[in-house]
Amino acid sequence: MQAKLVEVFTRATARVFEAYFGEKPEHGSPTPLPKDASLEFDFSGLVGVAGEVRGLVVLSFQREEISRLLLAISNAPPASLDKSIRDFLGEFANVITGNTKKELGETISAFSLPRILEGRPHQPRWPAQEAEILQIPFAAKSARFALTLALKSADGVSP
Amino acid sequence: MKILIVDDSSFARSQIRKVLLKGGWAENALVEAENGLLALKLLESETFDLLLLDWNMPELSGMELVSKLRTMDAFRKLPVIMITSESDKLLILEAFKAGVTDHVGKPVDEKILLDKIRKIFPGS
Repeated sequence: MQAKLVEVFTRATARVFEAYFGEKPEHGSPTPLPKDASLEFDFSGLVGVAGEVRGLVVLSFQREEISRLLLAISNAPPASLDKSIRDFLGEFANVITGNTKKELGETISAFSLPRILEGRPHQPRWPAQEAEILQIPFAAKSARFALTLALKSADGVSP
Repeated sequence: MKILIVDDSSFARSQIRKVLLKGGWAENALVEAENGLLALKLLESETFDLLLLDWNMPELSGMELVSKLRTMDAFRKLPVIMITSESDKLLILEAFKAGVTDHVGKPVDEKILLDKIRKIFPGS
């Protein structure tokens, strides 16, 4: 179960990123983070997960890289780049989590509306439960980003 | 043919708009709303042929909007395609029960969305 959770979220992240930007990202191995970890990124989109599988899913980018990506696919420069980044990150995190439900089924019963954290570094409010925090680095042609999972299944096993 | 795109994410709306422009729709045939309440106001003041609707939105969700529209004579038969990241079969079934005409997953696949619109409006 734990490996499956990481696999499903990693696959969904790569698939959604490629659909949006036309670049297939490569991913590295999951790295455990400490319980009080801060994220060395400018922006993160967070979605809370509830159900048999519960916890937090976080997608993080550096401002310069995500700006470049968004400008590359925009028809016109946005009025506010930071607003566009926040909007994109919320949608990206939401779509990835939604896509995992196909494979995880009823183990995820609900997920929250996305939240955004910004300013480097920033510290999400990690779940109080004993969920392990794992970070999976991604690298595409135009950007590096990270998927961080703090998930725990009801049987007590972390991802 | 006029289309109302309803999604709280401007990124998602721009993705859908891009697909429709590629599909041959004119800019002025595409109108956007960022939540269900604004969509309802637009529907009451303008005529639309198709509603492309996100499911998870603040204010008035996609499900709430469709349920409401189906109780109103003017919109009982308005085609509605739900566009959502939700891949949960039960939720999609619920959406059909609420009255959506069809469903497309996010991220939006250009061919799937255009095929579904053409299925509702052959020749479009």
